[in-house]
Amino acid sequence: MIILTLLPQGLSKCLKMNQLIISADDFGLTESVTKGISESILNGVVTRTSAMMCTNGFASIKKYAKGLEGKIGLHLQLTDGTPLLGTEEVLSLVDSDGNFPKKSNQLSMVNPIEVEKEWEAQVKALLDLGITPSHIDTHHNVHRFPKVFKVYCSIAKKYQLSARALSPIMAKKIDSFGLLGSNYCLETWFGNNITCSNLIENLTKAFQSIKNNGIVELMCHPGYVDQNLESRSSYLQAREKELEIFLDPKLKELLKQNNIQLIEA
Amino acid sequence: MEKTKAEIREAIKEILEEMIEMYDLPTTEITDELLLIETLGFSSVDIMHLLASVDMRFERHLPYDKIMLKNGEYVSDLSFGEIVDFVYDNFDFASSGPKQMS
Repeated sequence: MIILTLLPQGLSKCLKMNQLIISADDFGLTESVTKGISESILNGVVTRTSAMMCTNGFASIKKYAKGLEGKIGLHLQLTDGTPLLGTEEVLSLVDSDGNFPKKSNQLSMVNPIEVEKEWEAQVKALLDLGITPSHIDTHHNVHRFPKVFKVYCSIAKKYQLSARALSPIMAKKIDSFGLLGSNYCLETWFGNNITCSNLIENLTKAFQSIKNNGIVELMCHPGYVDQNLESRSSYLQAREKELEIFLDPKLKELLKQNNIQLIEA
Repeated sequence: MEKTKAEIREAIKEILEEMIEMYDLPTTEITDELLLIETLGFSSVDIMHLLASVDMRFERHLPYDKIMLKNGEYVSDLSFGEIVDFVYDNFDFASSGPKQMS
């Protein structure tokens, strides 16, 4: 009798799987990137993406959003694009041409009130496209900066959206709002030397770092390269390499063999 | 743009105070001996965020690998004072912008 009672518990512990979100940034960056991301979700293992509102990419977002219902979040921007609000409303966020700075270390003067207004406009823009965001994250992970993180939390809380956490203490803060999120974000798997096997190695380490108890989010950038992308991004061929890996049926098998379950939340 | 050590210390202290407040960490007196991992519960990623915020504040890019990595492994902890010393010692050699995926 004792054996019968204990066996299912032991069995369920053995079968407990590590949960993984594979989240593709930059939906809407260019048509080729958007197409690649869509394929990586529809035909590969990528579980969700987040859309950029400040790159003139509305047409491609609408075009490739088909079939991705509930899997598109908002990639909030303060860098590398043009704000939705007029320059005079977001003076602390723009350069002399009215654009966001290219790099996040140029955000030293940001006014959190202006960040909030601009991000509200970005939420509205996505809703106006008929897409209800499933989650939020930020371009160049600008929410790593404390004063930006404060606004990020306020948007997540207001719209009850799950939000990318970049560290355990960030995850704890987001969790305190009762919002579902990952416990660890793997930000470092990128570049020209990526393979299926070094992805599995990186994921194994990520799960170990949270004691195999929680959700890991893999941040990624699959896509195709075109002239438009070449003119605006330094991350090029590696996007196609990422896409190739995410479409490879071998990866799905490797994830299974390593007890990793894909989830969307 | 030259900075005195006192100015650098004050700027890093302000950022750290913002992080303590933002992440609901226990209120702690910030001294040179304060250990970020042992006392505040930071991870190495949080220390990188602190350092990235220092970069942002000064619009610089300091060679943080030098302080974060020892023999290819992340250091087990860093004190507030070690970070202030590192930023001060490397400030004039820092480039004006970090390498960033875009």
